[in-house]
Amino acid sequence: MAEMWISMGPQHPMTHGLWTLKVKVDGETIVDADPELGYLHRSVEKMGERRKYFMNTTLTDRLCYASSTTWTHSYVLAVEELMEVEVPTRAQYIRTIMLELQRLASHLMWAGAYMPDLGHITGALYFWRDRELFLNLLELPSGSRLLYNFMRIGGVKRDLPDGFEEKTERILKLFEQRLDEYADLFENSKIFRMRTEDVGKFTGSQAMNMGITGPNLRGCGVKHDLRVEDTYEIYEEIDWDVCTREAGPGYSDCFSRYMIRIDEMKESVKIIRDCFKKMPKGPTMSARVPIRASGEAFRRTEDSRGEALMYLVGDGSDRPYRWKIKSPMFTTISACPHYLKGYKLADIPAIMGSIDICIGETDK
Amino acid sequence: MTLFGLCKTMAELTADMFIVPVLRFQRNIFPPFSYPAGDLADWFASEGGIVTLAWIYAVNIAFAVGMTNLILVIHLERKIAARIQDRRGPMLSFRAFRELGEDLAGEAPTWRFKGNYSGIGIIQNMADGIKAITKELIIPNKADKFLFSMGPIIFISSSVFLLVLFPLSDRFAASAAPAGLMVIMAAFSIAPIGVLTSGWASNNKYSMIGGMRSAAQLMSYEIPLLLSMAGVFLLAGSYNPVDIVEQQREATWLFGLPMWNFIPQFIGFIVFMICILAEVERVPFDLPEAEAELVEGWTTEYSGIRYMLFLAAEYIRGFAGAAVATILFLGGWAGPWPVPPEIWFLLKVYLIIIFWIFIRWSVPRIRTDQILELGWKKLLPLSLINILIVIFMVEIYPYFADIVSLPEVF
Amino acid sequence: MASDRKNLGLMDIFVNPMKVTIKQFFKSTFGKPTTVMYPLEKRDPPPTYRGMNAVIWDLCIGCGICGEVCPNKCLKMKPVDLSDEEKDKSWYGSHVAKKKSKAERPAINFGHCMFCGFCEDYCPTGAMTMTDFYELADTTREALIYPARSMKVDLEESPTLPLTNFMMESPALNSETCIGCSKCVDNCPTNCIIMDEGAVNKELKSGKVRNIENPFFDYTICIGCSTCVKVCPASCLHMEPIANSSSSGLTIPVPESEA
Repeated sequence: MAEMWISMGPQHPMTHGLWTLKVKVDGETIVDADPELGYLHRSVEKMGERRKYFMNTTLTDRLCYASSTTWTHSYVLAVEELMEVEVPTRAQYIRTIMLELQRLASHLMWAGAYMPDLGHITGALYFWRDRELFLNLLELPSGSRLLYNFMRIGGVKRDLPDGFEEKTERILKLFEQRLDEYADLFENSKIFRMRTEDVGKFTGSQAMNMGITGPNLRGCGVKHDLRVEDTYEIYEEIDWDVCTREAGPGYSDCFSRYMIRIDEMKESVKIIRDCFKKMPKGPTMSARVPIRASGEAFRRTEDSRGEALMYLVGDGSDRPYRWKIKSPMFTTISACPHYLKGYKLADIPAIMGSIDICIGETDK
Repeated sequence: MTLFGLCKTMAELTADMFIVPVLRFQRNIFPPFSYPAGDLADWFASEGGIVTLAWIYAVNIAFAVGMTNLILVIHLERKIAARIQDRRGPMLSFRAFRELGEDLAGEAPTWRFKGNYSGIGIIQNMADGIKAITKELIIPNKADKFLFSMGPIIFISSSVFLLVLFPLSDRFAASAAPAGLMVIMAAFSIAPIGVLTSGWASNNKYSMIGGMRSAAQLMSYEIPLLLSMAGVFLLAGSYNPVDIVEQQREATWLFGLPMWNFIPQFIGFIVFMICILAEVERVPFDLPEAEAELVEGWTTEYSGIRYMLFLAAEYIRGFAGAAVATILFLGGWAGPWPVPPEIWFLLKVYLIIIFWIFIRWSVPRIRTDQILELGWKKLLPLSLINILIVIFMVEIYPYFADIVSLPEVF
Repeated sequence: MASDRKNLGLMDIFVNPMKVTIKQFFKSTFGKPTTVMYPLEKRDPPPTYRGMNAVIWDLCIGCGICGEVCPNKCLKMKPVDLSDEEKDKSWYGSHVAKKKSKAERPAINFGHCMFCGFCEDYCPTGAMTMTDFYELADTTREALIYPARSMKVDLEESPTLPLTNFMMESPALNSETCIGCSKCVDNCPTNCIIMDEGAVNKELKSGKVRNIENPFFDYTICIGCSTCVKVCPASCLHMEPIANSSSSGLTIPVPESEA
């Protein structure tokens, strides 16, 4: 069969958003690939330069629909560095709890979106059913199910409501039980393993060269997590480990990238439990939050998908002079020709799904 | 009383009481048309006319039974899938019809059923049918229009044809062809041609790849499928479903238990079940319409009632496939007395279908190269081993048993 | 670490996954499924839920902070005619001199609203609330523009939520350019400005010398709404980082009718 280009997207079930993947196939084998991004560009950075600092949390919420709090948090961290605001300890604990709940919801969203890519609708509904549990939890203090707008410069919007800890503990217990149950449905299912093993391989050094971060890098066995290495909030006071997985010596495949996220979910459960144990009483908002700022600030955080970088320049007014966002998925998607070549057409959803695409943050 | 006998009685009655008198009456009233009408009347009074009429009745009854089963199977799939996925499935379709009526009558819609909504989702199929009929039939601009229309015709007609080919019991059969199962498998193999045609005529790369996958799947699965069936044919010595079921009904095992074919030919049974699953294109073998990478594959460009009929035809094929598996390996309509054989047959068919539904919603889809590898490298040798076992049972063991007077096991 | 992966047999093709699905099948057949039949059953939103906005007119002082902090600028203050009863009941009526003939109340275009909840958070008196009503979809764009009066609710119906945010800046005067017009005093929603900071003689632009009064700001009542800055005709007011009363939250007075 002759070689031909197939254009997958912008509307295609594989894309999980709006982008185009042009693949050159020889029969069913991928010879070449060419990603095209930018369909969802909303000029968030420029919009942010026209709004006051505190208003921009609504924009950062909308950077990634699956993981809005983590993005808002990394923006808020950068602004706090710019304004030199001290955050109360209790607020830091609440932030960590919200971040880890959001990470759980985001990973569950990813797992749910990954299963239809492999032709497994039931898996999607199972994972999304569990995501609902965490959305219910996130809704309790923030008042919304998707765009929480909970992080504030200098603290959090409000203290955790009464009975939040008990509710969280109940849901975490149910969730852990269900994760163990799902092992039979996915990890111990032969066809799932056939679809994900030895597919979309790249090594750890390749990943670092291509700018792939986050769980995709830890899936190669590289122990790199900004929560430890450039620590923020109270992650260093909490008992937890950075988890890694490997498919073989130093490389990852779709299955190891699936497993690393399952491991991270279990780790997040641990962090949340420990946070509740160690959380002190106190205010949730800094007493003094300026409106104007000058200078520059740079913060990087461990988003659910990789390293989220925020750079802010203030010129003394109440709006940022320049705001730069670096999203982890932009580099990861841009590198896709490297890890798509040589596999089959049917592997494209399996590979592109396994790196956890979120186009909202990619195109900004 | 067989189905055909019943139909013949009905045909005689209708011919005697209605058709022949009316035609004769026409001849008397309108002399100019007397010749054809009179000729027809004579023909309907003769044996040939009555047999033809009886065939038409029989085929229609079998078709109606098949279609009723189709609606049940679709509803069953929806409900079981919903239960597996912790959902409810169709619940309010009756409600929707009522709303539609109220809307048409100009009344404000009201929500009336509070509390119990169960059991009124079964007419969801009708609602879907109405929706599909009212949709526009889109033909892409650069498509091959003739083949684009021919594809659904080939696929759907060959699938509907399947419904009248298999008997529900030795008495409830519209067709009693001596090579019945061969005809069924021939009808099964027509459909991929329709798939290939529609895939190519759509002028869409996704559709074309879907069509090619369908062809590749056909090539790799027809051979082990037919080879696994060959064992059954050897054992029964016939292609006729009735003979095959009779053979299984008579064969006994330890303690006089019935020895249906899936016990001696377990390998053949496994191979057949995998292959028939691939033949009817259900998950995990629904590669031609993989929605993740091929956007429903060869059905991408079809819309409205054509798409709906594609889906319906796939369920018909699934039902027919389960029926063939029942006839070949699960003893067909054989079963204890008080339950009629037709019910036994349908029970077994539905058991297989429910098993398939559970498989469908439990596993992901297999990749193209893996499916071909499975077909050629695993299933083909296994089906050959199955044939060897059957040959040993049918030919070699009785031969030596005669010589050294071994007990008659098989 | 390929070795830590369990090797799977032939039967694991469907046996393992079907264990889970069959279990779930029986669970949801004999139990209640997780899903909610939406139009017939609805889940209860939490008390913090950010649904459609409602304004408790009795508490609203018309300061316009909600419009200030709205990122989408979908909230505008619109002049409304208060009835005598409303004037009597309102905080504005009982505690602030009835200087203005017309009061201002927020009106929201829900076609632009993104339910971020800033208006609720920054409202100094807790008048702006967000209800748990979320079925706002309509057939026209115009229908989504809710006029001020349609947002009105009574105090008894909506619970007030604690304040979480505050405006950290307060007005400051450049007394050199002040012309003593007392517009800021007229428009201040909390009546925190008094024109009494000593009369001074000042030469105006026209060359005349007048004896004028400068405004004095009582930051214990000021909420930092910057209404005075907006109305100042001589641009002599600006916002400075001065702590004001809203950092501790205004105490919500009980309406006189109840007291």
